Amino acid sequence: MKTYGTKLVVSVVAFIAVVGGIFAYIANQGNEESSEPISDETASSASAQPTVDVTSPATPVTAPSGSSNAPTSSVASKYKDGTYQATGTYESPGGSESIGVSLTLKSGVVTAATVTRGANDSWSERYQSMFISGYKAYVVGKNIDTINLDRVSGSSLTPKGFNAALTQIKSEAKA
Amino acid sequence: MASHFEFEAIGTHWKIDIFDRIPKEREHALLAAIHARIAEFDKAYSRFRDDSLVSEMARKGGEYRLPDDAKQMLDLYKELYDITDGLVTPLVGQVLVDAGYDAKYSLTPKSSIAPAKRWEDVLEYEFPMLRLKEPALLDFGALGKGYLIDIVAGIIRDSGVAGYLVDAGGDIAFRNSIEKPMIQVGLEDPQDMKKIVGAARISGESICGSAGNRRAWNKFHHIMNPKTVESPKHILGLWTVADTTLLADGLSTALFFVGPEKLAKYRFEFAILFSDRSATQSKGFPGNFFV
Repeated sequence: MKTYGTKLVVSVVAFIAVVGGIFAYIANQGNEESSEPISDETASSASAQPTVDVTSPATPVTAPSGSSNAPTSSVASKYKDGTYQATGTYESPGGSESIGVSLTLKSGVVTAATVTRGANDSWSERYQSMFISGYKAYVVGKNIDTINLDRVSGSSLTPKGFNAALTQIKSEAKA
Repeated sequence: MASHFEFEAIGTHWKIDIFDRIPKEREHALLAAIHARIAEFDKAYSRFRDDSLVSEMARKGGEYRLPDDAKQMLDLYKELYDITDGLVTPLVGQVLVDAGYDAKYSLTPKSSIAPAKRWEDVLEYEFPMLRLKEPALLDFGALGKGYLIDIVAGIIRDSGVAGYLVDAGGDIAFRNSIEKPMIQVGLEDPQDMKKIVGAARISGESICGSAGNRRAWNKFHHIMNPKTVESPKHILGLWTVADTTLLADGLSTALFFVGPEKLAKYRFEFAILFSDRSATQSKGFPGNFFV
């Protein structure tokens, strides 16, 4: 248990570095629309910028069957598959804040990531929200019939005549 | 048995559910009252018919006494006009027509489209009076449908029904009851209508969705920036939840133009899907995106 504790501390420091780096990155971008590269980099590679030398991952909470219980920390780029969780704390001008990070690794690649907010201060909450929304992967569609729904909300159905008119215009344009 | 009605009105498809058991005669009377009320609303505010109040205003300026139901709608329009610095405005009507979204669906934009005129230059509004300094084509599309959903819901509620769902083209007012405590609403994927990008659980309020994928023509869709004369492209779709459908609908239009922090005076929740398919949502939004 003792070694786990040490590893956790190392990881937490690493995560804080990641968090801090991405905060800085977001701040540099200065607008929410440029979240694209952040998600790309963090999602595609464990060594995405800012470079953090994570020498040992945090305790895996779920590991695929067949793997040993204790995560080995031999080579820096080879992480065991599994889900890792850590909570980072940092000092903000508003006091001590925390943020939780959970990463799923497969073959050394982050395949899923979630961030949980623990902000006490409204500004921190704001930045953490930005971080969370910037960090999350892109939204994916699911087939409607895979979920039990009472209704679907989206753009309104087009009025009768609208589509007919549009079709006519398109065919005239081709002629 | 619960009742279910479906019909076409104001250019959209309506689906109404009454979760209470009501006798057939009451059901018929209720449906007749709903149809009559929608017709009355359409007669006043539709810019797609020649005999409406709005069409008269487009032909002739001057002083008009507004119907009683205009107050809530115009009041919210004026508020949103001020908050969005003129981007949510009924005066977008002429811009939409010039872009081709007219009564005949010509869908052929004029070679040059003038920005919308400013409220203060054309309108003097003090309920119940609206003075038009010149003829002006008003469009209540930003929140008119949401408001009409509230009106229809009100008719149902006043008839003694406890639980109902009024859905007009995906904008929904829901009142929960023992029979139906909540509904699960899929958030339609604007890029693939066979899919949803998330889901929300609604238990007694309204949800509105807005996206630029349908009612789209040329380089435009139904939401138009009245100053730049362009349809916003940075948002694929967004959803709002509020106590009234009027508010949810109005805010869903406003969010295409301003950030949610500008709308903080209203009690509402939102979920926004950006054009790169990244997303954000308010803390209290009763649902989530699939990521």
